[in-house]
Amino acid sequence: MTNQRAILYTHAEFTRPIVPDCLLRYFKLDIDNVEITDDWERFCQRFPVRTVPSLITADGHKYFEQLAVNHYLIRKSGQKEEIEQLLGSSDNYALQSEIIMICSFCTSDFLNALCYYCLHDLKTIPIDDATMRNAQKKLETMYPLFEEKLAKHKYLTGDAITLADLVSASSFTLGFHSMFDKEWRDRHHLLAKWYDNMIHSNYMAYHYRDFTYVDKAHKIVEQPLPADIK
Amino acid sequence: MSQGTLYANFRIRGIVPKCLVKALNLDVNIVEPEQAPEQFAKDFPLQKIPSFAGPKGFKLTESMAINYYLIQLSSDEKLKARLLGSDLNTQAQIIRWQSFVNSDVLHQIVNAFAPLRGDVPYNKRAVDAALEQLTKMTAIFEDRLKEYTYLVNEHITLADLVCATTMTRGFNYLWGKEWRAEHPAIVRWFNTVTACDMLKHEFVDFKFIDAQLAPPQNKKKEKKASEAKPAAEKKKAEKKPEAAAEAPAEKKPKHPLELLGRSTFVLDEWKRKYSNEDTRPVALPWFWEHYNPEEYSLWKVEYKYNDELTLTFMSNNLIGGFFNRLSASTKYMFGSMVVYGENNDNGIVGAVLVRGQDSVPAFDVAPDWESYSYTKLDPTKEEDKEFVNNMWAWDKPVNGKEIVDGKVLK
Repeated sequence: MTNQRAILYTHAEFTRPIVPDCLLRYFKLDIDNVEITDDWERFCQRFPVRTVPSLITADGHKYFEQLAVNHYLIRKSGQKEEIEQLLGSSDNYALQSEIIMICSFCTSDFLNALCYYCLHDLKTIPIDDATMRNAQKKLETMYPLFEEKLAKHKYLTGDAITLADLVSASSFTLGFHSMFDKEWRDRHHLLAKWYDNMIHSNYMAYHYRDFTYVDKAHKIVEQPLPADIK
Repeated sequence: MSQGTLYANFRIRGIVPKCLVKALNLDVNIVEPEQAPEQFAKDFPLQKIPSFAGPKGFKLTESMAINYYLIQLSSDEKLKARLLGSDLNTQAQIIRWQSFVNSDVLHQIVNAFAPLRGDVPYNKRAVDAALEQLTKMTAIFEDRLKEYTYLVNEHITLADLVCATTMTRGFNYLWGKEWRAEHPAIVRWFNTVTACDMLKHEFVDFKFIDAQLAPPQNKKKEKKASEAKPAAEKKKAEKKPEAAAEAPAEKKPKHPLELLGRSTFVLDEWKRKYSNEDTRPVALPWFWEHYNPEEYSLWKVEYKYNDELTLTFMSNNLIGGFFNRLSASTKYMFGSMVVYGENNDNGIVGAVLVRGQDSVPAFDVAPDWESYSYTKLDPTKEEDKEFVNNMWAWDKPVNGKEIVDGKVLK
C-alpha cells in the first residue's frame, strides 16, 4: 500500500469533529484536516457511512467514530503526560472508565437530546413540538449529572482537563450556540463557568476564538450536505 | 469484598457486561433493575441499562465504559490484552467498532423494527429509511468479514462480542433467510462469536427468523395506496397495500391556497419560460407582460440573522434547506434567493411570487419560516420591479456586494 498524507475529515458545522480538530492543532500532528465538502466524492468512497470525524492514516488504516479517532490522535502524540492526563493513567482504570462513560454519554444520548431541542429539523425533516419538549425534559434530567461533578471539581473528573471535558464541551456547544441564553446560563452557572473555562483552555481556544454567547434563545436550521441537496 | 453491582436485564447492551462478569469470575452482583427499582432509580436517575455501582460510591453508565472497567477488574493480563488490544491500531479499531454498532447501527435497527413491532406508530417511510441506512452499515461488516475471521484481528476482541450481541436484534426482527443468504460472512461470524464460551449461554434459545417482521395489521381503513411508490421489499409479499401512513384515518388536508382556484396566469408556463429562455432579454419581459397582480403577489424575503452567517456555501445550504421545507407550497410559488457578499460577511435575500395576497399560507409550511422577513412588493414601483428582476437574473450587486450563489424555487 503506497503511503499517502494522513487525513482527518471534518465538517465545520458538526459537533463530533470539534475535538479531533482541536487535538490535531494542539499536538501539531502531521495530519491534514480536510473539510468533507471540499473532497466530497473521495470522502464518500473512503467512508461510505459518511460520518465525521473520519481518519485515514498514512498507511491506509481507517477510523471513524469520534471515540476511536480521539483515542488514536491522543496516543499518536506520544506525549506521555498528556496521554495520561487526557485518557487517565493505565493504573487508574476507574478514572479511565469514567472518562469513557462521559465521552460515550455526551456523544450519544446527550447530543441526540440536544439536537432535538436546539435544531429546527434533522436532515430536512422538521422536529415537531412534542419531540422538542420531550428532549427538553430529558435534558433537564441530564444537566444535574454534570453539575454534581462540577460542584466537587473544576472539571468533570477532577482538577485537570480530560478527554471527557473536551468531548462534553464540544457537545454542549450546540446548546450554547442556540438555546442557552443568559437566563439558562444563570440557572446553570456551574455548567456555564466550566464551559467558559473549556473554550478558553489551550486545547480549545483557537477553535473557539470567534465564539460569542447568544443573547436570545433560538433554534438552528441544519445545513444539508451535498448529498442531501437536490 | 464485592467488586460492585451490575444492573442488567434482557436489554441488549447489558448482555456483554453480564457475560464478562461470569467469564472473568468477578465478584460482581448482577441485579435486574425490576428486582430493585427504587435503589436503581436512586443510584441511576436516567435508569439506563447497563449501570454499574462500584465501591465507595463509584458509579458508571454507558456499556463501553462498563465493559472496559469489568475487563480491567480481571487479573488475567493476557485475556485483557486480547479483548482490549495491546497496540494503538488495535485499541482504536476496537473502540471504533463498539462505538459504531452501539450508536449508529443499533439506532437504525431500532428505527426499523420498533414500528414493525408496534412499539411506535408505523411509518413505512421511516422504516424504509432505516433499512436503507442499515444496508450501508452492514456492507461495512460484510466487506471486512469476507476477508477476515473477526472484526479487528485474528481472535475475538471486545469489538466482536459487542457487535455480535448488538446485531442480535437485527437477527431477531429484520434479517430473514434472504438477507442472510446475501450476507454469508456476517452470518458465519455471528454464529462463531455467539458460540464462543463467553457468550453461548445467552444464545441457547436463539433462532433465526424466516423473514422480516411484517408491519402491524391495524390499518384496514387505508386499503388504497395514496402514493404509487413501488414496494422496496420484494422478499415479502405484503397482504395489505401500503398507504400514506402519516394520515391516520382521514384525507390529507388541502393546501389553503388550493381554495383560491385556477388563475389566468399559468405558473407552470412561467416556470418553463424561466428555465428555457434567457432571463433578462426574454423571460422577464414575458413575466411582466403576463403577470396578474390580483392573482399573485410578490415578496421580498430576507434572512433575519445575516450577522450570524459564516461561509457562503453554508448560507447557500441554508436556502436549500428552506426551499426543501417549502415543497408543500411549490405548486403555488416561484422565486429565487441569493447569497451576496463573502465569507463571514454575507447575507441572504430573495424575491418570491406567491398565489394570493398573503405570504403566510405559502411560507408557514416550513418550520423555519419565521427566520425570514416578508415585505410585500409593489410592481407598479420601478425600484420594486427592478429588485425582482435582479433577484431572478442574479446579475447586479445587492447592497454593494456581489451575488455569489443562490437557489431557485420552482
